[in-house]
Parts: sequence; C-alpha cells; structure tokens
Amino acid sequence: MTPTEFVRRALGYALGLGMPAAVLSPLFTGARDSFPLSTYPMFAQPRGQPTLYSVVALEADGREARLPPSLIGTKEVLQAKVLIQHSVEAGPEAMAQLCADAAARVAAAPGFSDARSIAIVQRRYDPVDYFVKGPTPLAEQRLFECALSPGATAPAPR
Amino acid sequence: MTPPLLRALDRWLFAPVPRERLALLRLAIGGYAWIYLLARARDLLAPAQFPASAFAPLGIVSLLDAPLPAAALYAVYGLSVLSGALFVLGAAYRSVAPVFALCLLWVLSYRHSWGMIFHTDNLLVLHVSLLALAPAADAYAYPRRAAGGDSLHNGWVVRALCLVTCAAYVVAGVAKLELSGIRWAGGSALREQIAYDALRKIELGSVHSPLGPWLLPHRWLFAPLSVFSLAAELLAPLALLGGRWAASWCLGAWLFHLGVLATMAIVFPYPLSGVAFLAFFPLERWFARATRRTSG
Repeated sequence: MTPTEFVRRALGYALGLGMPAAVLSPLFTGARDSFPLSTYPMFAQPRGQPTLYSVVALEADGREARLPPSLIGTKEVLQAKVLIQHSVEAGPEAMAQLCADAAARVAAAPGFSDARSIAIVQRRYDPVDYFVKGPTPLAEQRLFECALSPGATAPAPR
Repeated sequence: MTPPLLRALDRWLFAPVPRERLALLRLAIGGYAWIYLLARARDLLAPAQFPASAFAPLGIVSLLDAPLPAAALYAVYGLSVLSGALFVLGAAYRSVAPVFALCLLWVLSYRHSWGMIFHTDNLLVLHVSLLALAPAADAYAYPRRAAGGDSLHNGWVVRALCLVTCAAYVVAGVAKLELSGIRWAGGSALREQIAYDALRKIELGSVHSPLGPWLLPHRWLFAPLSVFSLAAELLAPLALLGGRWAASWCLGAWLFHLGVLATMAIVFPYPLSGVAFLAFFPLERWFARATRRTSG
C-alpha cells in the first residue's frame, strides 16, 4: 500500500465510519438536541395535558380570534410558539412588549376591525379530548391584556 | 495479518463505485441544497430581524455569544448561494465544496439558533458535508476536466451517505422507545402527538391538517400506524443490504414522511423529494438508461 493510498483509506475510515458514529452518538452520550446532530425528540415525547399559550384579539362582545404567527411577529408557527413562551417566562415587561407589538400589527391588519384589545392567554388541554369530546380547556387564564391602538405603526416582523 | 472481519469491512466500505455515481449524487444533493437555499431565502434571513433576547446558539453557532450583524448574515448567505452554484457545477471543487458545506451548515444552524430546532435539515447538511470531502466532481463537471486518481477507492463516500441516513432514522426510533417505552407502539402516543400538533396550530392561529383530527376518534388505527413508523425507523439498517431491501426501506421511509405530512402538515422536504435516498441506488445505470432512451 502506497502512502497516498494509506492516507485515502484512513480518511475513508475516519469519515465513512466516524460521521455515522457521530450521528448515533447522542444515544450514548446523553447529549442535548442540537444541529446537525440531533436526538430527534419531536414525535417521541409523551404530551400529556400540555399548557399552551396564545395571543388573541378580543372583540367588544367577548368573542376572541387567535392571532396568526404573522401578527405575532414571525412567519413560522413554531417560532411564534417560542416567542410567546419566552415572553411569558420573561414576565410582565416582556408580555407588555409582545402585546403592544401585536396590537399595533392588528390595528394595521385587515379583518380585525371589531377587535378592542389583545390578550395573552394560557390554556391547559387534553389534546385528544379537544377533538373527540369538544374544545373545552381543562384550565384557562388570561395572563396579560392591552388595548388596541388604532392608527399605530406596525413594528417590523421578528 | 488482517483479521477476516476487518478485511470484510474493508471490502464493504471500499467497494468500487463508478465516479459517475458520485457525480450524480453531487448534482442531485447539491442541486437540491442550492434550490432549498434559494427557496427559503426569506426564512433563512429572517433572524436579521429577530430580537437578540431570543438568540439560543447551537451546534457550530455556539461559537458566538451574540447574534451576527445583519450584514454578516447576508454575506454568509450570499457566499453559500455562490459556492453552492459552483458545487453543483463541480467547478474548483476541492476548494469550493468544503466552503459550501461549511456555509450551508452555518446558515442552517444559525436559523435553528432561535429557540426552535427544526429537524428537517439534518440529513441534508450531513450529506453535503460528506460529498464535499469526496472527489465528486470527477465526472459531469463544468468546466470539464480530466478525471483524477482512481475512483475505485471512493466507495466509502456512498457507504457513508447510506450509513448516516440509516443512523439518523435509528436515533429517531430509539428516541421514541427511550422517552415513551414500548408503549409508543401501542398507538396512544402517536394519537396524542397528532392531536397535540393540530391543537397547538389552532391555538397559534395557524393551519393544521384536517386529516389528523378526523382520524382521532378511530383509536384502533393508531397502533398499526405506530408500529409502521417505528419499523420505518428502527429497521433502517436493512437498507444497507442493498437491492430490494434498500428499495423497500426507502419506500417505507418515504411513506412515513408522507403520513406525517398528511396527518400533521409537517413537511420533511428532503426525504419527501426522494433525494435523501438516492445514495442507495445505482444512479449511473438509471442515468445511462434514461440517456439511451432519450437519444433514441
């Protein structure tokens, strides 16, 4: 075997077996989910009765409409979930900011002309029961509410 | 004296692979990555406007303490698009390919560094990285150049692409067993997952698949679906046997992703496109056959 061939073979072994071993490594190291080496937890975790946060527009008669991610400040639903959750965890100041930003976007958006205020809501559900028995939450709490500001300038999407 | 097992491993890992197959994999996987970068441009550049407080660096981006300035993000993205085009063409491959692989890894890792990891891009990055370290531009490259070295020792690249694919599916399958136990195969965990996914989308004012909630009252369906999902993941190594084994597993894995799309509206574009599974097949023979057919 020539030195060049030896190096090629060594590289082949190192990468050809090393890369798959790295992909498998979270199974043995207990490493946290990362990228591109992942523990792939997405469909694996039991969900139980999760608490979900949402931002809603409240109308004068008490009806509410869920705000889509674009009015919360992102295009992606998962990113919207993270934005709301971070704000809730960070406390009233962060919730006030999220609420005010959403209120300004809603004021400038079509389809929310009856909205009077914006609220950040926490609800606990049994997800299967929601669809099989009916959409009643197990628990519900309004965490923050802010008034709509007509004519406000919508902040840039986050 | 080499032990027989090591000799067998050596023969398997370095089984001859025509340089045309590596080149076709470069065209398909690199082409997919390049189009993907362009198609997701808005989304990949969105972090330029995210609040710094949401920055949660992971992987290679953990080198940073704070988000990049917007100009730097745009510059790395631009470099990834440019090097991606050259990667697909096979131009200046030895120097450009690692740059593209690194840029792709960076751009996607950076996008995932804002509190939410999307698991749809992992295989793509790993596949591009492997191809970038291999002589995958010895054929079908522009500008055309003389093939370098002997291609018979490059079989490890194709093996590695297949091994990495199988490993990712096995990890996903084992994660289900680790976090939920064998109960996962009973169906209730999958049923709960589909319900949870639709519910969180409703709560966030987004679109959910109507099929998932429609299936939920039919509890009996979920055990066979769960067993199928687990099998698609845990039996991935069978694909390494090649031939019909590989074709059957690839079809099973593709159907699994189709099921995820249908019931949860979650798109895994790389496997769904089929490109993620190409390394299991003799592409050069398909290509030659197709060329013969089109040339009459």
